[in-house]
Amino acid sequence: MKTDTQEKKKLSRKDFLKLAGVATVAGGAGSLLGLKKGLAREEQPTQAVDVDLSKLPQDIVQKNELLRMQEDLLRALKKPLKERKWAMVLDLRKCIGCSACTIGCKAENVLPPGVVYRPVMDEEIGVFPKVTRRFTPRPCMQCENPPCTPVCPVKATHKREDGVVVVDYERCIGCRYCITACPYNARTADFGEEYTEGTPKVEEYESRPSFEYKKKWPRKHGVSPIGNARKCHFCIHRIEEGLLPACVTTCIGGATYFGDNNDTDSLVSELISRPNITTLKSELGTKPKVYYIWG
Amino acid sequence: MRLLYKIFWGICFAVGAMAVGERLVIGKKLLNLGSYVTWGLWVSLYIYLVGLSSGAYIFTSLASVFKLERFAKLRRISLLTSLVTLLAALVAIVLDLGHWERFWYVLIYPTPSSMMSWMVWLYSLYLLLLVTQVFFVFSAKAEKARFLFLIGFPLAIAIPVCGGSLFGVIGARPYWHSAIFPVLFFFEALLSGVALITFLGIVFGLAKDDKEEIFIILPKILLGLLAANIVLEASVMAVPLWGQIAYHIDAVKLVLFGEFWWVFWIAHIGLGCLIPLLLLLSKTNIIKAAVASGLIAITFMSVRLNIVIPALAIPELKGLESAFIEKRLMFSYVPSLHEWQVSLFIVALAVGLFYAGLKLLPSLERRKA
Repeated sequence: MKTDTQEKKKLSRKDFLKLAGVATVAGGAGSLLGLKKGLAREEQPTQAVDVDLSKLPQDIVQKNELLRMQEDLLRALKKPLKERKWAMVLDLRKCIGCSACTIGCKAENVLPPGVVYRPVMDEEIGVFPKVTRRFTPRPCMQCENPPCTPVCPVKATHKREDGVVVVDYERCIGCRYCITACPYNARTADFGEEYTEGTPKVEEYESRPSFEYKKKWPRKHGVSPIGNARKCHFCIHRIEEGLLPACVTTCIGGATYFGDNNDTDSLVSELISRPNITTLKSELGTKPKVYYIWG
Repeated sequence: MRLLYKIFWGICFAVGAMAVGERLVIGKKLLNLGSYVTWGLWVSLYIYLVGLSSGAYIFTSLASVFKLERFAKLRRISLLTSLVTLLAALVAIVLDLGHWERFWYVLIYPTPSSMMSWMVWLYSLYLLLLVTQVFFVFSAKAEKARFLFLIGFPLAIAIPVCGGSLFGVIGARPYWHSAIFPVLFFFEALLSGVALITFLGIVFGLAKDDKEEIFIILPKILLGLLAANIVLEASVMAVPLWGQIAYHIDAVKLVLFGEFWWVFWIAHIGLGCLIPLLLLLSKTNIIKAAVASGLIAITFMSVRLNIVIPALAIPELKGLESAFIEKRLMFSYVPSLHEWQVSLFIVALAVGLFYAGLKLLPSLERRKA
């Protein structure tokens, strides 16, 4: 004779199987739809989610660094271009060397082999057993006095009014003189390779377009940015859509800060004004707008 | 023997032309360059050929401006050498561009702050001048050609000086960033250029015998230029080494003791300096002068390789070499077979153009006879 509990168990197992079946079908359809949507999305630049930060409690926004930076960004975008001064702060105490920012940047900008905008340098310091490691992400320093721009023979690279150093892919002749002139090795060359080259099929995700500089750049043989010098541009195509750079949102340690250094209320301005801030190779007088917190 | 030469250079041209075809169709994937060592064999070949061209021209224009008639015999062969080496150099640099089809942008977007922009403007003028001058000299309009030498002389000096400045102004590379670079490039161009025209002059039979005056003077000029170059190069190497600041000596150490030490010690010092020095210091004859000048001219490519590559093979930030490992993010470089093939094409092209010049401009042959 079956007890009530056994009956309930049986029923619940049945229900579970039914539910699981429905869920699998629904989930499968959902993922198919999602995948389709995702693939379609790859043909479009990343869009900002329509969230009104002013409706959130201010103490939450102020306590959450990402939300605060988002708010700083939206405030900066209301100002004319020349009144913004984008800056990045990297807190090396928080960087764990996971390279999520490097990969996030690679995915965002569809970077091919040999092109990297933001590698994370890994140094071992000390002698065993007293050793430690220091991770230093190295985006473009967006120098106030960039040595890379005056050397360009066709004026294809220049500093924008907001301080971001950009490359005009349609004008760049690919001489790579700018690459030699950067004291931070922050410029790279696109030789037109693919990661899946040499395998039976070059995967489609490698030929999806990049949306750098707010333009669509399909990846085609002989077409820019293939053959060009390429560099970090603080994701200006995202910034101007109200999104933080990809390296900021993918940093799992919360070590990357971004904002307007012309705004005294911004988080980056607050961090830059602290005494423990420094820049790379400050003796060169390039005046980087990427700052580091060492300790 | 002539037929053998023709077959040899014909094969070189054909093998190289296939690689040029690949370069134009496939792009730059076949190069071993990367984002860090971003200039290599082709840029080195380019500055080598430009050095030969301007060096030969400076010497010839100097002789012409100051009416040193004893060197007039070399004028035609020298002008032809300057023209073909310049054309070959331009082919090398255009193929090195990521977007070679946009090379003309440098003419329509002039940038006075860029030494490369200046270089292109100077080369354009120099090319026009050379073509005109070759026409005048070979059609025996010597007076008009002499007037052009007056313009060409300062222009030809400006070319290696500008070439040296192209590297010298790059403050990010301590190995290049030196006030001596424009001066060094001038003397290097002169040495390699004079060596090449001396060699060609002897090979093409412009010296009737061992006592021919210019072939007694030329080895002495070469000796002086070689000594000047040794002093200048020693300064470039020794000054940073004495300073003992790692940032300044890393590239120098790479040249002297790196993986390619033999390019400096064997190709350059041994074959390009010591042997020619011994030959030129001893009682010279035509054969010794030909061997010495030929060795200097040919091995000078090693000097160019050692200028371009080592400066780029040093990471500008510690830890960058292992930050993100990919084939094109390495601080080492060995030219690919494709790069050698294209270089072979460029050299064969220069030889072919020189040969065509001899045939199409028969005055040289007549003069020789």
